Amino acid sequence: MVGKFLNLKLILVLLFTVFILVIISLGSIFPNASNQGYAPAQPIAFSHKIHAGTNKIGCIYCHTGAERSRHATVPALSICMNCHRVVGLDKPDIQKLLKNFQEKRPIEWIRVHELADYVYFPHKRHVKIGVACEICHGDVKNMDVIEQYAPLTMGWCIDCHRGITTPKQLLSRLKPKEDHYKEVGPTHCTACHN
Amino acid sequence: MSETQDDNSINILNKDGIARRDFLTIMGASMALAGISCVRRPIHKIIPYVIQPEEIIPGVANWYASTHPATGVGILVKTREGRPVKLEGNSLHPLSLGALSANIQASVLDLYDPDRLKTPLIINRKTREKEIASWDKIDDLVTEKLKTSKKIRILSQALSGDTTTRLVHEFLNTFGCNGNSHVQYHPLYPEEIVQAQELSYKTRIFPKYDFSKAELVISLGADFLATWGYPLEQANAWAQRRKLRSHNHTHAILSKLICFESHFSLTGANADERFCIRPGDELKIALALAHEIVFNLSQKYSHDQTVISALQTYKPELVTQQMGLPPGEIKKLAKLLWNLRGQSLIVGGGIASKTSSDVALQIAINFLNSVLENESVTVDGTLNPKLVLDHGYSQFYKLISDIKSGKVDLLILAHANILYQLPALELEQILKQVPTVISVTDREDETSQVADFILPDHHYLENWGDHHPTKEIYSLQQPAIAPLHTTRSFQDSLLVWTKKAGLRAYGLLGKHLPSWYEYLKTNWQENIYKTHHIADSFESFWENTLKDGYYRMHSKHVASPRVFKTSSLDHIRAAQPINEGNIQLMFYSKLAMGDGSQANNAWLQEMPDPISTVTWDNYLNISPVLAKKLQIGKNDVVELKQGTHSVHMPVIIQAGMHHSVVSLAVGYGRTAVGKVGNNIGVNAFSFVQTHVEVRKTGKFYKLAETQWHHVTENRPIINDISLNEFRKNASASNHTNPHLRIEKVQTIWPEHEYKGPRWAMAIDLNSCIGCGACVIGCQAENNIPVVGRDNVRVSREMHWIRIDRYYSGDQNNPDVIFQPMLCQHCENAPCETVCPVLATVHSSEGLNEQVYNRCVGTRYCQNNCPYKVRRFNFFDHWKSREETMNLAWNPDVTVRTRGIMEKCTFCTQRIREAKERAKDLDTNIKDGDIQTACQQTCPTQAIVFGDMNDPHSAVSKLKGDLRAFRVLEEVNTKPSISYLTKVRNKEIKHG
Repeated sequence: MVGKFLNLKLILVLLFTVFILVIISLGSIFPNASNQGYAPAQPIAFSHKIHAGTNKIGCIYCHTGAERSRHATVPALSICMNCHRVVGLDKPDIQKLLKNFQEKRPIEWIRVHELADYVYFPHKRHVKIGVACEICHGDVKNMDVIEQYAPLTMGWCIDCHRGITTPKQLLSRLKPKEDHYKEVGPTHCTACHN
Repeated sequence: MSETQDDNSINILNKDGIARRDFLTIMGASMALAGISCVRRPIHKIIPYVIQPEEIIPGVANWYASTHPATGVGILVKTREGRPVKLEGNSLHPLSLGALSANIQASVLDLYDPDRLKTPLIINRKTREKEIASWDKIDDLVTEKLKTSKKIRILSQALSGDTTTRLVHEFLNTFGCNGNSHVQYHPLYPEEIVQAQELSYKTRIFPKYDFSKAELVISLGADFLATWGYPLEQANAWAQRRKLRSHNHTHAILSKLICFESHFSLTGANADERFCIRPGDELKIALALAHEIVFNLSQKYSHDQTVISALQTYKPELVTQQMGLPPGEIKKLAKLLWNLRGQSLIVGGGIASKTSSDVALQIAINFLNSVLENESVTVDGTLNPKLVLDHGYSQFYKLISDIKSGKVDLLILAHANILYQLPALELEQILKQVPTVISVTDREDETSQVADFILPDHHYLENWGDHHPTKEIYSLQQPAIAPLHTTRSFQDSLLVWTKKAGLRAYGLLGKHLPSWYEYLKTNWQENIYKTHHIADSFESFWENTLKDGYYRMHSKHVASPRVFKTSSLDHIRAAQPINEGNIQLMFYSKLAMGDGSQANNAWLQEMPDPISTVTWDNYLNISPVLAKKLQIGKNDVVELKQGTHSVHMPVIIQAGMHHSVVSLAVGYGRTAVGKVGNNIGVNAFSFVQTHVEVRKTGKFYKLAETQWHHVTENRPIINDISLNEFRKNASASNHTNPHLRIEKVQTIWPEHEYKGPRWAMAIDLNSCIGCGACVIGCQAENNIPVVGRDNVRVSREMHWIRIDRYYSGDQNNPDVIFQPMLCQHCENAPCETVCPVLATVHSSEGLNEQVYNRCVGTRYCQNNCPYKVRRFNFFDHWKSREETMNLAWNPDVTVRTRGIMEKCTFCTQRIREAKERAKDLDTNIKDGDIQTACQQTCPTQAIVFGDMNDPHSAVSKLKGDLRAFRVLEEVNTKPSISYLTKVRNKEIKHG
């Protein structure tokens, strides 16, 4: 009996130690919970490769907010309809799109790029200063299924703002006017959080 | 893959020992965990528009100009993705000048009130059964009733806007009733002023009182900075004469405000000199002043027999003696008035004066303003019409007698909550005699309970309308959101019923316009556009008016003096003398609660009263002297008795009250307004303003106050100085130890460097009137939660800006300073050094930043803050915002959760917005581009915000002012907020 008890205690201690170890090792395998590479199946198998790659439609054509607002915005169905009233009507996904449009039912896309609620990231500022979409969103032109390219963590943002990972062409343009200015972008908390 | 491995692991486990089993279990678990981390939980969706509205860009605010219908104040509505989230004053609009009062600021929350009536209801009056009906069904039934009814009456609140009034009259004409069938009632309507104007000058108007031209203002009970007349416009005008600049302090000029009142009002708290008087004595003072001016100073009327007979008994010596005023006070005041004739203003009245002598007081005031040549200077009687009922209250009482004698077949109540406002009349029984009662309202209120049909009206942000506040101004109200519920505007209902009835309609109604919008537009075209000979086409005129929110006539209005009819003095009767020892009950209306129509607004319920700082209740104000006499202490519950009617309520011992009076705020004690406002406080309307009995009950009730200590104990928190002292030495008031005022103090902390701007604020205590508009403006802008009465009792209120009110001088009639207190954004911030997780840090622009996602809630910072401006989320307060209320959140500001600290951010989202705007235009931020929410809504421009690193900015200049001081400077926190000393136009006795 006593031995069994001892064993039980030992098991518990062991279990706890191993659990902690696993948590730590998990942390090193996945350094952040950033969802980098997240590529969920969407309600309509929309391919950026076909639209932005093959047909060379500019990003801003659909993501109209990118230059004007904090949100790049996912296009309204009416924008899809600009082409798909005539293009690809034989495809089942396009028919689904048409049906939604006729029923005035929006498509519920799965959100891929998501920042925490307390982050205020303005697309407009970044686009206007000349940060190319690809820097944060990757080679979208060749993505059949859209996926999260960058980690989108605070450290990743800050590295760029501090001029560490800033792309060269940007750095040369945004080069700080005075020497003591190390930063390319603002780094105080309320620049992005409020 | 994991399934097969799991099976294997179970097999191994059975064969081998414990350690191995554990290892494998953990391995299995870790694999499961590894599997999870690839999937995001919860999955969020993006739901775009089906058809993108042209004007909406998600993430960018749209602003619409509109008008607040009850006050005629021009507003700008900020909408995000089609929903209004914030109101701001229209800086072009003459009634607003950019400012808004607390209750207009809060009215955006009313739009999302979950207790609004959402569908039309049919009520069986016998069984009280409710039936939800469609508008079609309602229209069929109502039209039938309308066609069969001969005598139709419409009872409304004082309707704003010519077009609505016109529509109502045309509707009544169509159904065979004349214009007199439209009756209006509003409990706070200044009937006595309009009536006295008619007697004195033959016009039924509410004149424009111009406080910006008055060097001396005497208020006889009028709370003109808070609730009387047009407080927003008046506060702005009055404050223009209270601004001081120190650089020419030896010749500083300051207007003077003298108050005579029984209850301690906000205006009284801002007065240079204030006298506590018995209610009803205002008339005696006015007549004594007139006596002195007419017989000793002016001589103009000294041989007029009517004047002599009206004034002769009011000798100043006698009146001062009777009222216990300092001897010679009235003579001194009369002399001052006479010297400043043409630059003075006398006002009086308000809800407290609604007694038998209210009209007499106004006539005496009219006479004084005429004798003092204030006509056409500070009193303009030719600019209006402003919110004037055609026939006043007499028409309302005729309606009641008509109903009693069965002369009314059908009664339409348009936002007329008379069962709440007039409980003593027992209207419930009377209204039962009307065969059909239709109530058009926003909720199932007290009066709707007796109706056959309850029809939900739009909120004003969902509806069209207009307003005609002065002769020059036509203000337009446009919807900023599509109706949230199945509501329909009152005006649309009238149009639909007319059409359905198929009768020959009159006027514009005869055109059978399809909607209220079309009707309004046509009326503007036919009346306003055509009569004013506007050069533009109507369409461009209409578009421009929509854009600006109002139209102003081009021809400049010139005020002309009117001739006072001395015969009106015959109406002055000696007021009933009040027995010594009797306690008089007096009403007042609170700045936040008003007449009680916004009682379901949690922001307003939780807004501290400027004087008592009490939230969530009304209470009996009682003077310290009377409290002592009745042996009433703090938190005591008393019985207030009048005849057979008695009510228990808490008391507050309020300095500055006259000892013969107890006062009670109206607007409370509603029973059918909604979850927030039901059964809060006592309905004052159930009493009459006459003598009452007050008895201690022995019970206790803790009121939810936000300030318990009322004096500064000579700590360097506030500064005040008399005008004479100020002229001698502008900085004399600064009682901070002078050696701490030197710039360099030894510090162990490295100094902050500012390469760019450094944001700072200056608050002029001379301009701040304590109205609390900033508190609600901040609440709307920064998603500040409401915590409820119990939490306020234990000091857990969340307001980022509060208004501290300090007393000094005479205990029974104190001097008051209001001090807006918010995060001081200290240079040496005590909160920053104690945070163990760096959740509060200093920004490169001088802001003290609070990082919510770092905060773990130790509350060290709160303990270490000498200003007590940090607020801790003890609960998830955001959860109290149920469905539809959640639409009122400002999407630019994080909604805080439980366990974290928050505080004023200097509206960092607004700073960023201004920066973005400047960057878009490729310019730098100019001084004045950034306005914090509190600054933006302040009616007196007491708050200035800007960059103190820019020597030319307004805030830098104010910081260099000789009056500038910083709170608790001796602790060397170096706040970014400077206050400017309050200068009083009187002699201050220090000590």
